[in-house]
Amino acid sequence: MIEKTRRFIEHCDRTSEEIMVPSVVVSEYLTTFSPTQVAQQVQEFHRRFFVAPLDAAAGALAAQLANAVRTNGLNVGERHVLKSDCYIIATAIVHGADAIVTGNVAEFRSLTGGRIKVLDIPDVPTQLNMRTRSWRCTFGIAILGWRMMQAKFG
Amino acid sequence: MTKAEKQFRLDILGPRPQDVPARDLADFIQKFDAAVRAELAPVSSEDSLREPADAELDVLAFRYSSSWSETADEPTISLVAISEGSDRLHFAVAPRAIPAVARISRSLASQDFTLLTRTAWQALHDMSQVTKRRAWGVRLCKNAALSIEEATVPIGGEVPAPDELPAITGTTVIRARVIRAGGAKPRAELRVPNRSSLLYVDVSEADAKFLGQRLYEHVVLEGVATWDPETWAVREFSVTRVTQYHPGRVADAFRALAEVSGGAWDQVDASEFVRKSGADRIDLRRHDGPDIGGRA
Repeated sequence: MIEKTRRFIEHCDRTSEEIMVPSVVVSEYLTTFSPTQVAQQVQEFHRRFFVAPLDAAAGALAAQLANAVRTNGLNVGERHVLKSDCYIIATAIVHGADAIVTGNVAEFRSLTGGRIKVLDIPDVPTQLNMRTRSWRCTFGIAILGWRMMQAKFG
Repeated sequence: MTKAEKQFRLDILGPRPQDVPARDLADFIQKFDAAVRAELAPVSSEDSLREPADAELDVLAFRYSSSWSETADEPTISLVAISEGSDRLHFAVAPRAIPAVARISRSLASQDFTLLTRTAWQALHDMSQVTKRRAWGVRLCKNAALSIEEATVPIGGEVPAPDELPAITGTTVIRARVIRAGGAKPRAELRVPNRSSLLYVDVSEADAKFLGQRLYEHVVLEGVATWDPETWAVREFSVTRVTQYHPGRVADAFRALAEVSGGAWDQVDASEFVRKSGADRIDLRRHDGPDIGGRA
């Protein structure tokens, strides 16, 4: 998983992919930090990523997704997890992400209703050799690719 | 369920076979198919555990990315036979689409189109425009095994169009590509997601100068947006602030996050973290595993 994610991020750089991080994901990630660290992390996120907010449009779409789950009787986990995932999916759609990249493909795919691609972390061949330690912080973060074309990742 | 039971029948009322242009018949079928597709339920967790074919991904994605192919799709309904001239159309229906066809039949029979998604409702309206123009009627024949009710759009009748939804307005940030900035009255021309045409926004002189230096790059703007509630395209946007967003290498960004994390992740076994997080979700989805806590 670590190697796969590392190679994928390297691939994003090689192919000039940009990463969108929904604000809900930032919130989940920050739960392990002290208030001082939170401020620093938030600053870095905003400087280096497009942190897409859960705005009025995303909130409205998230409600539609959650209602669709209830209407269709899907069995997709506990309520708080479902809500978070609907927020993430809605944020991605409203802000124009091309795909959601996640280690939890099945659940996300069941929630999207076909509105956006959901991809597992692509298995990209190794090209660069980078330190592992720097990557420790990345694996709790769901990442969304801007231009993650199917052709590129097979 | 037998193969025969997975079929339903649509009758075109009124015309003689020789009076049915193939083009209009295809148009009619395409619009009914669009209504069915718009009513498809999200795939269940069990279904979604399998890897979808590339073709399926294309189908799922086309509304949001025009660059993805629309041609390679899986059939939801397929015309398998035509009887009694050209007015009785027999369709095979994919198991996943059966509830959609049943729901469409219920809404047509009861004239309650709020049972449907707006996209499906609009597609049925469009279908009825084809039949009205040709002075046709349509009868969806009952199939109890599929819970399909008999429903008729009479000759000359139509499915009403859905009311237009009010737009959604609120504060947000948008990521946009700068196409042009400047002018006597400072404005910016932006390419934004979910919208085929360019977006024009008024900006301050200072922001116009800044944006002028970022031509053909992506910027992030704070402001107030009005969205189309169906396509989620930004209809209007007024800029309040241009942010200092400057994306670099993704690898560098993650490295920077690691450096300001103060070693918070040093003791975390990343594989175990992800494994536990994934196991948590799978157990929750099945509703039969132990409660191992909330999401990490």
